[in-house]
Amino acid sequence: MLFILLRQSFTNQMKAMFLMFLSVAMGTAVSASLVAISLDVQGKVSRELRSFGANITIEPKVEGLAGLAGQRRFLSEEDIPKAKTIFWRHNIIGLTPFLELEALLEVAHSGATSKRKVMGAWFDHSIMLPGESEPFDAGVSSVMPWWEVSGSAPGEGEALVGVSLAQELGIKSGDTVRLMGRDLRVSGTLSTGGAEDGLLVLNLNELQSLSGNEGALTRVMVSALTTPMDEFAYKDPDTMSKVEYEKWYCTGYVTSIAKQLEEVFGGSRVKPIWRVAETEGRVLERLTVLVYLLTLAALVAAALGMSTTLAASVLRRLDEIALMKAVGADRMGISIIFLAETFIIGLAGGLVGYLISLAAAHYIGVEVFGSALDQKGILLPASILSALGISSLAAWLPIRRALMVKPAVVLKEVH
Amino acid sequence: MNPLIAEAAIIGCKEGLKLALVWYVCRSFFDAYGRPGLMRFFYFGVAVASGLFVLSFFMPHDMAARDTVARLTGYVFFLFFMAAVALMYNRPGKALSGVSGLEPLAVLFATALYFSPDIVGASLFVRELAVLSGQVAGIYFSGAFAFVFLIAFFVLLLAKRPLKGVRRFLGLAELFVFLALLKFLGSGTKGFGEISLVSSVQQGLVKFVHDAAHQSLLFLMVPDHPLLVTTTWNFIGFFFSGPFTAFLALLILAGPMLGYLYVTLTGDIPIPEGMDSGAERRMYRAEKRAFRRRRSVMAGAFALLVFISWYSVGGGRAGATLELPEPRPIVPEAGVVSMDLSGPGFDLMDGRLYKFSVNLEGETVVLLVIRRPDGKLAVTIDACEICPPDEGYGRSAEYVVCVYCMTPIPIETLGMPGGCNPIPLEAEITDSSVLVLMEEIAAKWRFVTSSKSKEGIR
Amino acid sequence: MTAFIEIKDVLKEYGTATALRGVSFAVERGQWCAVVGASGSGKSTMLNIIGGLDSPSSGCVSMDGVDLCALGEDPMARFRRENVGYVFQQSHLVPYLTSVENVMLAQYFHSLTDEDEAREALARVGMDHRLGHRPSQLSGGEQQRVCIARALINSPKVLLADEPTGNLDRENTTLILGLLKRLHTEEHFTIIMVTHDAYVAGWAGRVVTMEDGLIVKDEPSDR
Repeated sequence: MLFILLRQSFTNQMKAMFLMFLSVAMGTAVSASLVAISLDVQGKVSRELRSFGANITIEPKVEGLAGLAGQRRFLSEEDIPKAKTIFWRHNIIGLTPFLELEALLEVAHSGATSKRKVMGAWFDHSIMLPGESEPFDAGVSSVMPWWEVSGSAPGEGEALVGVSLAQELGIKSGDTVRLMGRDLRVSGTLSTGGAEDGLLVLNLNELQSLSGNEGALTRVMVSALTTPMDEFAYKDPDTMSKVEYEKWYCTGYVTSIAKQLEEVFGGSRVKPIWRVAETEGRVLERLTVLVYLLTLAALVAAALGMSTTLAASVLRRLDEIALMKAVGADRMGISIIFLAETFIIGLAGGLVGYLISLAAAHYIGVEVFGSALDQKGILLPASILSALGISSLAAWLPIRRALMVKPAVVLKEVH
Repeated sequence: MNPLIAEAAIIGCKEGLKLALVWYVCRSFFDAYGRPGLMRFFYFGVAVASGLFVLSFFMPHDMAARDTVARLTGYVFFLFFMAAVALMYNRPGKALSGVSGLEPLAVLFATALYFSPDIVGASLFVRELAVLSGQVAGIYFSGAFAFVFLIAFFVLLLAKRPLKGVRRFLGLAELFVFLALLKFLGSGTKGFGEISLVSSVQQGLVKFVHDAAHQSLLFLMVPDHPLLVTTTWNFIGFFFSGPFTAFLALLILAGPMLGYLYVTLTGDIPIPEGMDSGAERRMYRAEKRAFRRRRSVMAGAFALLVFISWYSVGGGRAGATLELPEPRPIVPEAGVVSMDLSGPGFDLMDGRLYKFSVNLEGETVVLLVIRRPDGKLAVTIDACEICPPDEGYGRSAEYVVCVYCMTPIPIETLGMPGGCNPIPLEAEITDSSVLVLMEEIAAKWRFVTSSKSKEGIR
Repeated sequence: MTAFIEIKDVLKEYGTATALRGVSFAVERGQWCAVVGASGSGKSTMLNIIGGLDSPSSGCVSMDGVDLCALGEDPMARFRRENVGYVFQQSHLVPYLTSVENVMLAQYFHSLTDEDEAREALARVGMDHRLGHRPSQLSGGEQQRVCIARALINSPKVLLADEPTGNLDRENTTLILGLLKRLHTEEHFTIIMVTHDAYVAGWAGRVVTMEDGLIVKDEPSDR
């Protein structure tokens, strides 16, 4: 009988049923794709952020009066391979050294001179690591993939000019600049969107020998594969229990890796670049909260849409409900009819919503992140359950309305 | 607050809740069937089980002990499950029938059996907490017990009167289903380990089959190795592993419940003589049907729970954040572990993560095999030198990830020693299989168990 | 001993209007009682209160020893479906269900559906040729016969009819009344029937006349 009633109810009010189905399906689709994205986004965003490059910088430690006096301290190039001997060596996926100096720069064709920052960096430079057969790429592109060089990388006797410096001094590719008594041919321009746009960039080893700072470095940028910072990562290691300390130590937080790098680079100060490291953890957390709020909003909207449609349907069917009550239906009997309807709609809506979310998440993944999202299998039962949840929630008020029907009154009014 | 105290409190809460729930349902049950006196024997049983917590002081606090207790829990679950199934299929649902002299004993025994592994396990856990923190165990025990009593007190407050309508939902069989269900749930996140009971039985079985065949062929003085090559054994092994195991567990646990549901829900309802009017007959049938439905609720819940756990442990995992393959058990041949490069449903060279398990002097060692981006096969133990080895590694979209500390490991570095990387194994890769010496596994496994590197941490 | 159906000092108010002003009335088992009166005299309200579709503002109603006013909503629904059969004036049938389905609806809310039994019930009221028809395809008399089949399907103790022939011509009226008569004489149904038609009331064994919410006359019928 319930089957007959449901069949009739669906065929007699196709429009209402379709509307309810639509709102549940859309709500589920939106929320399921949001959740799919947020589940996948953690990895994706941290990967995106990592392509912004380094998350750890190593700089010389400058302390007290020495710093005030402007005394320069350097890192040693010899320490670089040591970075790949620490506990976390496998997680260091890129590193590149820099030397930065100030020097008098003379442009050959105009004769203009000015004091400028000059930087030495490795382009296409590999180093051999102890005990490894494959060379390790320590060039600038391994950490700063966004450095855009037009022309060619500076070789022996060559230099790159940052785009803003080139504009300011009127230097073009092929021009000659004079630095520390040596003529350098401009092999191209460098565009990074950062401070490097105002610099003259040489090959690191050439700058070292020109300035007489053999083997000296002012900075090493490291790109490390890390575990996103969570609450545990911010705990003070000194207050940890043994189990916790073990776990903290063996977890690849950026702080743990930085601590170990500091131990191998003599006289260094190693800092996580929080812009990246923190974004990975904390900002993602906020993003997740936002996504869940949006998900909730989508589900609530779907529930409201369904609730109003169902309420209208109940109002249309008041006579019928009154009649059923007169024939002997109790509250349960009436509720079951409407609950079964919403159950079917919820089930179908959840299923279709999930399918739509598959497509949507795939599209968003491709559009925003350039790669398809990993669909989580758990989303199928989750979206069906939430669809069932919101549809029964939506049915609550209309069913209450239906239960309030007084058969004696309603049946009297019908003519 | 000391986090370890919090853990003691949590386990206290959990055990307290379980105890209180079982107490409440049993009390209502005995009441409903007019045998409130049996509750006394329930209390005796709980007392016996509680006394067993002293046992934990004589047990070593290591993984083996914990494993033993977990296994015992599994066996007890299985016993209750089997009892439930036996009662279900032995209708007509008489409750508390049988020899009445034995009933008190049965209640006592069942209660003691039901609670003892939990109590021993919990006290083992609490004692471990004490050892970890280097403090007196008493602190933790009192913490845990305080919460057991707190929960019990609250339940007593809430549950002054016995549950109504117990008879409508519970017969003796359904009571047992409820107890088995609670046990299934109560074993926590690792709890679906009861399913792994199947897998350990299977491991035993596969070894037994192997040994039996091997011995009998040896007895007949037939050189069996040319006949039964490792590949054959591994192929047979497939039926004892991975998805097959999960499916079998599903069948064993959910099958009887589903069968019961089918029989009760579709069974005929005979109409007694003397019912003339159709309305009367219909009413009789409707009431009988409703009764049968109510009595099937427990079995349905149990089947549903098994399906959910199966989905979340096995089926659903394929799409979960981390790919965590089930290890395939392997029997070493003449001290060599041989893993086929490809076989039914797998190909080691497809870039996915593969796990194999071998038995090393009673311990299960899991091996991990994955193809690196450079095309070489990395063969390692599924553990690093630092993290606890129970969880091993999983595969995310781009990295291999340590399940314990969630540290991502670049796949191209797999097979290199050190760091959080899994411990590499020397392996010979032939055209058809990967060969690893058991000696090599034993030598490297020592790194895991000795935790040498852990000493160096502080 | 109390009568089979007994109402005592029943008062019913709708807002400011009063439909019943303290009515007392009893019906014995197996009686066929007609309640007559002008429209607005409170006769339908009384029928609804007896059948548990409505509750009195004060006073009490009992049927077969059960105090209806003490029952909550759900027990009342249960009591109604097991003990009371209703026939309405407008032959209230669910428009999208066939005759047999309409009868089965009453079975469904009572216990289980049994299609064969529903067909038999329709055959008993002479509707076996119209089983698969919707109410809109049936004449007024046919609809009313489906209603009677539906009212009887759960073997009620009492049949309540509110203007069962109100919309029918004389021929169909006679047919329906004949049906009721048969039920009364052969199966000893207790019937309470509300009507404003003296001809219809004449079929009953007892006629109660109401006026302005009070019973003014209660006498055996001349038939």
